[in-house]
Formats: sequence, structure tokens, C-alpha cells
Amino acid sequence: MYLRAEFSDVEAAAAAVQTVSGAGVDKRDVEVFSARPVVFEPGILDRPSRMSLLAVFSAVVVGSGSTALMFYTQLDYPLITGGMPLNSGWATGVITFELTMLGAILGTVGVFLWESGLLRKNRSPAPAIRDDVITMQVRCDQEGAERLVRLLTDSGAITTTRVEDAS
Amino acid sequence: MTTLATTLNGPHRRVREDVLHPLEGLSFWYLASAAFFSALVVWALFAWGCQIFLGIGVAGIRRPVFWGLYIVNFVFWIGISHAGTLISAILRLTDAGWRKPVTRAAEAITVFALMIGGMFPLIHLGRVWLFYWLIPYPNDRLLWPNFRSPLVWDMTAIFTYITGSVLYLYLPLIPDLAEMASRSQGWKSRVYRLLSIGWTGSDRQWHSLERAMKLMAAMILAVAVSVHSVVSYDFSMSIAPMWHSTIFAPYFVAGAIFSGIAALILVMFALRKFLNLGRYLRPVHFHNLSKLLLLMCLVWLYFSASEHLTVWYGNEHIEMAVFNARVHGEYAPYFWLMVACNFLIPFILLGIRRLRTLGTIAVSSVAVLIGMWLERFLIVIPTLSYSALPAAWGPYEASWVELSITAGTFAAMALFYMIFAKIFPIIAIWEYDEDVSAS
Amino acid sequence: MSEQLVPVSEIQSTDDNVPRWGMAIDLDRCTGCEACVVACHVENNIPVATEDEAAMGRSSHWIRIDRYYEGTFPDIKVKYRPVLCQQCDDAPCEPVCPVYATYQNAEGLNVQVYNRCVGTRYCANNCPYQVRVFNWFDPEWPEPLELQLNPDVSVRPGGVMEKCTFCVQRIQRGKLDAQAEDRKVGDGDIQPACVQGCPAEAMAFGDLTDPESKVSQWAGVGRSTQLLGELGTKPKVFYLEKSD
Repeated sequence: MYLRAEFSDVEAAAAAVQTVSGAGVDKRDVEVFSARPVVFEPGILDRPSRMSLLAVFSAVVVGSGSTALMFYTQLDYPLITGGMPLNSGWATGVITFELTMLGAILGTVGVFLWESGLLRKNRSPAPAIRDDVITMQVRCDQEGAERLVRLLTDSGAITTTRVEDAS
Repeated sequence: MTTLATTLNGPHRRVREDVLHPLEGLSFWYLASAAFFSALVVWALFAWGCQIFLGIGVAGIRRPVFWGLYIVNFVFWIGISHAGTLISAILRLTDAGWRKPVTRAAEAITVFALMIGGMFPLIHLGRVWLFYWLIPYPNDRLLWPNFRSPLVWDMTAIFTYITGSVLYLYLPLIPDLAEMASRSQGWKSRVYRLLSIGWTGSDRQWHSLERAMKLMAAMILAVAVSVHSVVSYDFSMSIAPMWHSTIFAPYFVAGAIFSGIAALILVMFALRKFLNLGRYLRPVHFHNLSKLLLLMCLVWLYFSASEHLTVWYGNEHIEMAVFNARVHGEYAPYFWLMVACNFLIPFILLGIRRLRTLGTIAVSSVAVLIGMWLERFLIVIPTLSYSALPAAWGPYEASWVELSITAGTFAAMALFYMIFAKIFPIIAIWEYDEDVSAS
Repeated sequence: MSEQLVPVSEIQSTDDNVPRWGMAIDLDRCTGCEACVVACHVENNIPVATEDEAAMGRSSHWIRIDRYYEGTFPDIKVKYRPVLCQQCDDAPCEPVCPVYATYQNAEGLNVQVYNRCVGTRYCANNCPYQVRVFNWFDPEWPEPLELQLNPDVSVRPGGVMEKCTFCVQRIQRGKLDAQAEDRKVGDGDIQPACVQGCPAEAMAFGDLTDPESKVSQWAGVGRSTQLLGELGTKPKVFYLEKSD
């Protein structure tokens, strides 16, 4: 089950995140919903990301893969090029660069879709987007719910509601 | 649409009203101008159809000018496309706060200019129905494309750029699409919901979005620079006089940014006027962009002077034929008009502070667009017209087909933009929100 | 015109038995009669442009006579120069083609594969000699010229590039004839249409790797030059400049 608490400002929400995590809740079980990006101080609710690393990885894979394809194609059908080398690293360098960048772009967007959870099937329920409040959602079990509701209310939550799992 | 707005206060509420209001209803003038632009586009398509069915000869290209207005327009539109992504990426990376009402308008220009510019190499092909022979895939012709050809470089560069800039436009649009979905009813809501791919506004999503946009901005910057360099390689890799030049790549990139800023300023004027966005596209935006335009005007002069000075001083007879045709021969009127449009007009109007008003900024932008189009014309045509052997010199005159297609692409740009601005909020609401909250 | 000459010995050859086809044109003998142009049209199924098209620059000749005038009227001197594809060893047209429609074959010819061409016309822009010809429309011949098309040469559709082939169909025929008679191709066995049609015998065609061939002899004389040789394209057509 999930607990939802609504806060009117960023500071209250940040305090609530710290209180809840201090009470032993895993930060991965905490989500904050807002209509515009909410900027917490570093360390409050960091989301580790491998986006840069995977973008580089994707760039290297697509770039070198396409370069390998280019070299393979020229060997696959070796034309007589009249003195020019069959494969020219310099002349194909432009394509290597472009496809490396394409790999980086697609890798970034792919990781974005994955890390943001937009592509996942098993997603936790989400509140409707509201402009006026910041909604915090905590996953918990039935036993711990009472205590969390108290903690959240103490941290300044306007309202708290319980949401049952969809399954 | 008013249900939610009542719960919002001050600027947040007002930006929604102002930005979302133009999305409602279709006025008579909107429909009339859309019909006008559509007619021009249909006429251009008819002209292209004539060219496909009757033969490429209905265009005015002839020996030795094998590349004509199509390639001029190609370079021009790819240049315009630098408006968006490049400017928005630079402003995003430097975290310039004033960018926020401008970025989406700029990114949309990029996507549409690329769609239009990317069509020209196809329109220009002698056998356009076989264009897919440039794509590397295992085929029963047993032949792969020639990756040495700058045209294949071009194809991959533009493919990368258009993929990147569509995504770069789309990613920051997702939160707004989710908001649009919650604000509209019926099928519209369902379409916006579908396009927002399940955006809920969780901190994970915001985190990923901001991170992705930072990375994308850096990458799109590199791609944009490389794309116009590759476009310039189409010319500079050849041994034609005044094309085979090492300065071409940076020269083209600078020119592209120059014309891109001018296009962005003009589009912003249009948005300000027709969508009543004066509160967001404020004079400060126009003044900031006009300073960028002035800077690029000087950069353009520097490159242009370097290019012409070296050719003139070198006095190499094959190149001098082209130089003379440009500077005091057949193409001299275009050349000096270009100098006036690209340098004199913007430099005087924007360089003298008392003269720099919204009106003169608009005039300078129009001048720069004309000047940059002429510059592309002067790069493509005289070189071919005055090739290495004097006996093979020949003139060029565009036919109605080329002129119709050229006109049609400008209409297509206007049409695409009108439709885009009718469907999507042209100012990124969430970015603007963030800005207001921060201040 | 260039004075710099790529020596015949530098003409690349992959194999001793493979010829490198070349041509030498003696400008002293050329009268500018254009018989070569007509012969080429007939041999290679080249469409005939109308007067309007020709005035527009749409005439398609694989070989043309460039005219240069010296002096002022009436003391005028005309120099004729037949210009055909120079069959460059380092041909600028070749690397720029995205679909390999033009490439260099083993015998040093810049061959144009019509069926591969998509019509980007990049090769023509990059040819400093402007000897590439584009089919702006599907080809047409005024009656009754369509009845005399050469069956050995394909008719090119609209939208593709074409150019001088050194009459590759005649080279092929010459090689096959020699093979059938179990002998080597002799010098002068193969004659492109322009060489055959030249009434002044101003043109020589043959194997540049054979030092005894007529073309090698001609290309080796002192007044032999290459057109725009300073561009480094290594043409295989040599011009014997006018001696006056």
C-alpha cells in the first residue's frame, strides 16, 4: 500500500523526506510528485543515474558498429578504386562521428525513458498532476502506516491518504 | 479549462491563460492564411510532380551549372535550422534564464527547417525514386553505398541531426503534454495523454528529464556544428574554384547561426503579434538576440573577408574568374546586395545604440535572411558557372519549377509553424513556472 | 594550359598484361571540323538536342571542340581543342559519387554505370573538364535517327549521368576478336569512333603501357601536355600543343 501526503511548499516536503528516511524508510520507496521540477538540496532525495555512462557506452557501440559496417561493406564488394585505398579511415571519419553522436543521443533518450519509469509496466500508482501542491508518496506496509501518517502530519502535510495497491 | 486555473495564483495562472489561449478555436484569419500557405505548398508539390514525370530538365539547371536553386535552398534551410537547437542548447548550457520563453519556439524552427531542407537533396535528384540506393542495407544489387562521398556523409549527418532535434524538442514537451491532457476533454485529452507517454511528474521523471536535457544540449551542439560543416564539405571536398577552401566549414557554421538567429527573431515577432505573447517575449529577449545577431554579423564579415581576400591576393587565374564574376561581374549586384544585407544594414541598425529598436531589429533580421540566402546563391552558382575551363562556362537561370518550389518551402515553414503553435504550447510552461518560482 | 606533364611511365597499371587505355590528340593536325563529334553521336546513341535546348546549354556531346581565339579581328587566330573525358587516373568524379555509379575499372577507364546512377550530378560539378553529360529528359531523336541506334550501346534514361567511354564496346569487341583469333590485341586494332572518324588523323588511341604503341610515341614528344594537369588528376588524354 502507499501513503500520500500533500505539502504546500518545497521546504516542508524536503523536511518530510528527511523525517521519513530517518524513520527507516528506503528512499527508493519515496516519490515526490509536482507539476514543475522540485529542487531539493543535494543529499535529500538523490536519484543515482547511469545516464552519462550509458550514453557513452551507446555512443561507442553505435559508432564503432557503424564504422565496422562501413569497412565490411567495402571489403564485401571490393571495387577497383583507381589508386584510392579501398577503405579510407579519414573519409569515413565523418560518418563515424555522426553515428557516434546518434548513438549517444539515442542512448540518452533510452536511459531517460528507463530511469524515469516511463517505459516500465509495473508502475506504482500516481496522483493526478496538481499545480498547487507537492505530493509525496511512500510505499509502506499496513503495520507501519499509522506511524508514518503521524510523522508526515508532523512534518507539515496538509492531507494524508492511503492508496491500496492496484493488484 | 478554467477549473484548475482558479486554484493557481499570480504568474502561474496567467502563463497558462496566455499560452494556452491561442490553442483554442480557429479564427477566420488563421484559416485564411493557412489556406493561402497550403495553396502555395500544393503548387510547389505540383511543380515537383511535373519535374518527376516530365524529367528534371523542366528545372533551369544546365551544363555547367548542375546544382541550382535546390542546393541553394538546401544550404539555406539547413542554416536556418541552426536557430533552434544550437541557440537553445547554448542558452541551456550556459543556464541563461531569459532563454525560457524562447527555447521551444527555436527548437520548433529547427525541426521544420530540417524537414524542409532535408527534402531538397531529394527534389534535386535526377531519379528521385531511387534515393534509397544511398542507404546501406543488404540489397539485391549487391552494392553498398560509397561512404567516401560527401553526399553520404550529408545523409547521415542530417539523419542524426533531425533525430536529435526532434527528441530535443519532444523531451521538454512531455510535461506540458501531460498538463494539456489534464486540461482538455474527449479525444484531445486522449491524444495528449498518449503523447505524454505516462508522465506523472514524479521526482524521478523530473530528475531524468533535466539530466537528459543537459546531456542532449551538449550533444546537439556538437551535432549542429558538424552538420553544417558536412554541408560545407559538399562544396569544399570538390576541386571546383572557390569551393575547395579550408575556411568553408567554420564559415558555413557561422553563417548558419547568423541566419538562424535572424529567423528566430522574426518568428518571435510573429508569435508576439499573432498570439499576444508580448508579456513573455519581452523587448529584453529581442535586444539580447539582436546583440547575438550583431556579433554573428561581425563574425560573418570576418570569415567572408578572409575568404575573398585570400583568393584575391593569391590571384590564381581559375579562382579569379569566379572572384571577378562575384565582385564586379555578372553576379556583382547580388554580391553587393549581400554585403549590404549581411553587414551594412545590421551593423548600422544594431551597432548604434540609439537606432536599436524593435522595429530596426525586425528590419535587420529580414535583411540578414535575404543576405544569407544570397550568400548561399553566390557560393553555389558562380563557381559552377565559371568552372576551370573557360570554354565550358555557361549561365544559369532558374525556371518556374525551381521558383515555385522555393516559394512553396517558405509557405511550408509558415504552415508547419502555424499548425504546431495551434496544437502545442509554444512557450514551455513548466520551464517558465520554474523560472517564476525561483525568482 | 598546363606545361607540367605526368610521364607516361607513371600511368598506373595493376598488371603487365592489363592495358591502360589512353589517347593523344595532335592539335597541329586538328582542323576543328567536328567529324569526331558526329561520329561519337552516331556510335554512342547520344540524343540530339533541339536548337532551343542547345542554346540553353543542354546539348549533349561526349566530345566537343573548344575554341580559343587569339588576337583581335581581323588578325585573329583560332585554336581548336577536342575535349572528351580525360579518363583521369586520379579522377575527381569518382570518390564523390554516393552510389558507385562511376568508378575506375582495371584498364584505367572511368566507367559510368548508368543503372546505378541516381542523378546527384556531383560528379559533373567536380569534373574540371566539364565533359560529363546529363540526361535532362528521356532521350529523343528526330526521325529517322532513332532507326540507326547502335545495338552495342545502351540507351540511357532521363535523370542519369553519362560520358565518354573511350567506346568501351569497341574495346570489348577488339579484345573478343583477338581472343577468337588467338592473338594479342595489336596497336591500332581498337579505334574509338572519334579516332576512326577524324579525317586529319589527329587522334591516336592505344595502350599507354606499351612503349611502342602510337599513343605512347605521341604522348612522349616534347609538345605533349595534359589539360589542367596541375590539378593532379593524372589525365590519360595527351594534347600535342600547336607548334607555331
